[in-house]
Amino acid sequence: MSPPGLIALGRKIPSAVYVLAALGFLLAIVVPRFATPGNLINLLRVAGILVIASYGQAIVIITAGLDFSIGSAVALTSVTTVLLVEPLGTPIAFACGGGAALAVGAINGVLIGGARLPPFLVTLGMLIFVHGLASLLVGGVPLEAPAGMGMTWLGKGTILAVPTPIILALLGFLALSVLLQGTTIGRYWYLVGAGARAARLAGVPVGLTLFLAYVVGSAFVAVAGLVLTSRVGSGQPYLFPTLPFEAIAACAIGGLPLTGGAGRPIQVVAGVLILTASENAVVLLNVSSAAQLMIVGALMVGAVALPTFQMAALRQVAALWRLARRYRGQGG
Amino acid sequence: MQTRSVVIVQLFRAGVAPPSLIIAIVLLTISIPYFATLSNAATILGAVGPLAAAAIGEMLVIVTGGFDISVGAVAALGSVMAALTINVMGPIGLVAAPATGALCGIFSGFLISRLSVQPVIATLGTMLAARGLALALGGGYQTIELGEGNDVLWLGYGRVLGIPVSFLIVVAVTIIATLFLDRLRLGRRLMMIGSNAISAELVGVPLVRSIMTAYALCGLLAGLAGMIFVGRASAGLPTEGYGLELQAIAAAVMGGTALSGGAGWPPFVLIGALFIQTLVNGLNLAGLSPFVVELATGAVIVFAGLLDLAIRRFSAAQPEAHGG
Repeated sequence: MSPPGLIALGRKIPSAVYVLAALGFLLAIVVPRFATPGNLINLLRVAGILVIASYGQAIVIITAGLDFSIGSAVALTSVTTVLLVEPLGTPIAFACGGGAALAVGAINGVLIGGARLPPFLVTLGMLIFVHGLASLLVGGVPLEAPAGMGMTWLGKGTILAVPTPIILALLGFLALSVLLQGTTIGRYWYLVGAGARAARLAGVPVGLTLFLAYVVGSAFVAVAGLVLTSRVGSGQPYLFPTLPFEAIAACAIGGLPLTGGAGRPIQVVAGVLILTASENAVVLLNVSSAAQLMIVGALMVGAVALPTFQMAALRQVAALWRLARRYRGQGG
Repeated sequence: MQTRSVVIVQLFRAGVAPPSLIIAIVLLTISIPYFATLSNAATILGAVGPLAAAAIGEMLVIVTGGFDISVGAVAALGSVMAALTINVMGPIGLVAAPATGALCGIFSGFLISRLSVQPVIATLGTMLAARGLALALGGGYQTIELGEGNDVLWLGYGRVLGIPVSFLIVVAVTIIATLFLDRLRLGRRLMMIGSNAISAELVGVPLVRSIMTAYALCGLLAGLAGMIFVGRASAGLPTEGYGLELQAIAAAVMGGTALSGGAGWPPFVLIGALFIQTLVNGLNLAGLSPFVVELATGAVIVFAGLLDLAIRRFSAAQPEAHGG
């Protein structure tokens, strides 16, 4: 391939992928036990769940929204599933658990798409509301799932020696790529995120588009919730309280502008892997969980603030270049 | 002519929190036997301090068109810093809480105004950092006990003429915030930025400095909430304040603060905070599970958003009245 072709290819790969490669290289050298097959598979298994949830978050972020309610939606999914697994059997219980997450997404969608309330207000309110609901259902304490119902396969099983969450994350990647690139609603999500007013003037049904973003997003969250439930084997009202922050952080680190209108699935995956690898390395280095919180915060703010610095630097370079050309023009 | 629709909108804005509070009090008095007692009233006034302080801080950034979702974590960090300082310097160390809060606010404000990070993301970062720092300083414990002889319980439980000290503090904060927004140049600038940031900049408002001040003040008041935590628990509480930011936003919106910025009045925000605290108190007295209280809080937050929407629709439906 000719050099210009290589450069064009290089530009197509989002910068988060380069960051991920550099980080992986660094961690493999610096952190003992990081680059072992066992640790990497465990890392990917953990990342799989976060990736699936982050796909949903990415859809919402592309429409210039945010979804905090997923932290409680996965808890509601797990509680519903475990409550229903004995009377109804595993498949129907899983369907109901997923349905619970979809219902949360639908309420978000009606309030945000229909009534045009600010996404962060609605989804933070739903985060509290649904947490209360999930806790009420099980009286505030974890509920052990009955053994021998075949519930653990989704979270702990393998297909051809590959852990199921990783397979699901790959399938989700395909689904999200098709949705975003190949369907009308996917293109509408970008349009609404880039400018809701312009999209409406161009004939896009903005309310319906936003509604579907939250519902489809919650479908990904439902899958993540079911995998989590299967992994922990119990219904927990406090299942994964930091999930929304990690998913938003992953999207931001991957380079999705939180102002909406842009973003690709590969960026989401890269963002999640950067985040998970950092957290994994921190655990291997025996740093406290409190420090982990700070690292997530710093990575996220850094990832969002960095482009501003870059743009400022680029503008300065461009200005210098114009200046130089003008002087050369006078001289020649 | 111009004024009539504006007056109606203003009345509607202002008029939501007080009737809500009165309706809540009447309903709770009818349904719960021990609700309408003087001692319970004092309990509510004594407990509303942290929420009211955080809500007024939140209001100061919402009027600029921003948000701060870090106030709960900042309050927790403030309480931890105050407890650590008190154990070294004595009760004067309480001031470490608002000072820490102001620093957190300056950090958020810097990210938002200088680096153009969205308020939700910037304050989410501050929230994670503050919570992590509070937990790290707490060394994994739920509380950081104050040493012998460092009595600060007067702050949480003391009374002057039967009124809790912490409530008197937030009343003072309310009055100062009202004068600040109504009378001082900086206060007026915050309102201008919220109404229309571009116009404000064109008429010479220094955007970066003003917005940073708004977040610094919000952090300061969140730290004040943390200081009241210390007064009530006689300890630093690294795990306290989850969800405080939401209750604060709900109180601000119930109190008529426009989510789109540019409008808000501290006394009504105080009443909004009293409404939420009364509701929580009543539901607890009724013996309902704390999870029902969570359900109600979530519902109030979404309801506050719907209310804001209704007011916006109503304002938009009024005929344009320029130059009337």
